[in-house]
Amino acid sequence: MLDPNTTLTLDRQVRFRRFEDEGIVINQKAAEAVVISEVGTRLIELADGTRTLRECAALLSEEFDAAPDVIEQDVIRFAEQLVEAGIAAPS
Amino acid sequence: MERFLVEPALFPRRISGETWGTESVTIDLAGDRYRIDGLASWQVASLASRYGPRMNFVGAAALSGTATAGGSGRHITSGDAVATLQVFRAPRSDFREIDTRGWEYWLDLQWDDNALAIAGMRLMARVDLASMRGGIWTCVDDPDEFWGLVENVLRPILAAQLLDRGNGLLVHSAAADGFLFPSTSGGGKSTIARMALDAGLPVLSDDLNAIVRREDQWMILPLPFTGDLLERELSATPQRLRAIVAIEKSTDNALRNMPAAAAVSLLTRCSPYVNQDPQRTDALVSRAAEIAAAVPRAMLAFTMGGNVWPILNRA
Repeated sequence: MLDPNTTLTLDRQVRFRRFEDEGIVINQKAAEAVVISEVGTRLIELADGTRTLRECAALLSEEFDAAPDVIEQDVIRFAEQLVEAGIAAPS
Repeated sequence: MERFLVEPALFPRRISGETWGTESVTIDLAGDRYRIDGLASWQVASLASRYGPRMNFVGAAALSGTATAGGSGRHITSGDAVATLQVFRAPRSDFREIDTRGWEYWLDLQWDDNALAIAGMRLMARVDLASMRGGIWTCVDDPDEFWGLVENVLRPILAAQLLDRGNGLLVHSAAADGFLFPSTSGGGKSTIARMALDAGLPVLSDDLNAIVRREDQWMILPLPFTGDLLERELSATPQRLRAIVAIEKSTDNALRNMPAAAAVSLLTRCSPYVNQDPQRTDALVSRAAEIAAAVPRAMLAFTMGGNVWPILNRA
């Protein structure tokens, strides 16, 4: 499980683009294009390699008016999926 | 490359070699002309049997008996073509023997520095995508196999041409009555195309379609690349793109809105060849976004044999 103090960086072969509320992530290694939910899209925008997952979760809980501890668990789970898919790497 | 070539390190780096002959043809695809040089007469006949009226004879081929085998026989000057390929001989010993029983044909594509290298069964090809000049090296001497080999090179070049210069996109899709149904293999393209034919609607292709902007609107242009349908079943008339429709086989017919991100993702996944080139990703996503923003988008769940066209027409 990722530590809440981890920062996240998108893989260099991954492109991310927002379209309206959602985003897509293109993994150039696999010619994949995956649609990311509204919250996931915002997390990828916030996870710029300097903010920790906990800091991202705090901002998201304000923006989406949700409990910080619940959001933090969701953020960590989503971050783990990004890492497993080779889309992002912890640092 | 190792899958197809005995010595991958010897893959041609320059467009040179011994041509099979001296004849030339052009093939019209999505409003552009692609020239193929260095052909023997039997190779011209092979291409004529596949491309028929889309093919034009150049120089000697226009005057030879081959010109009557098919195609228009119109004389074309070299300046008309957006891309030129030369066909060279390669020794059979360059290629690995492949047991094709139960094998689904695939190609090894390598994009490097705006050049594309292709290896396939008895095939090597290199295309400089800046100058759009390239070479095909093969040992194939069977007319029934030759046209397919050329087509395997033309398809990725067409995809790059449409994206780079053609103001368009090559999309794995079925197209019927102005509706574009992008889908990867096994997703229902031929099924929906067959349903359109049964409903008396014009179908362009059930496999690959060219989306091109003409002035203020996006058009679907006919291509000779089909899946399960026969080319004679298809319409040759371009269609105005009315909507992008994601398809899903279901137990009910239902239509719902498709968000922009889903449409862009779908078009990107269904843009073969160029979606494997990291240098083209940004251009590809931008083009997909442009198309997705210009027309209605929908997700269609459909039943086999059901009539989906009234639902689509209401959308």
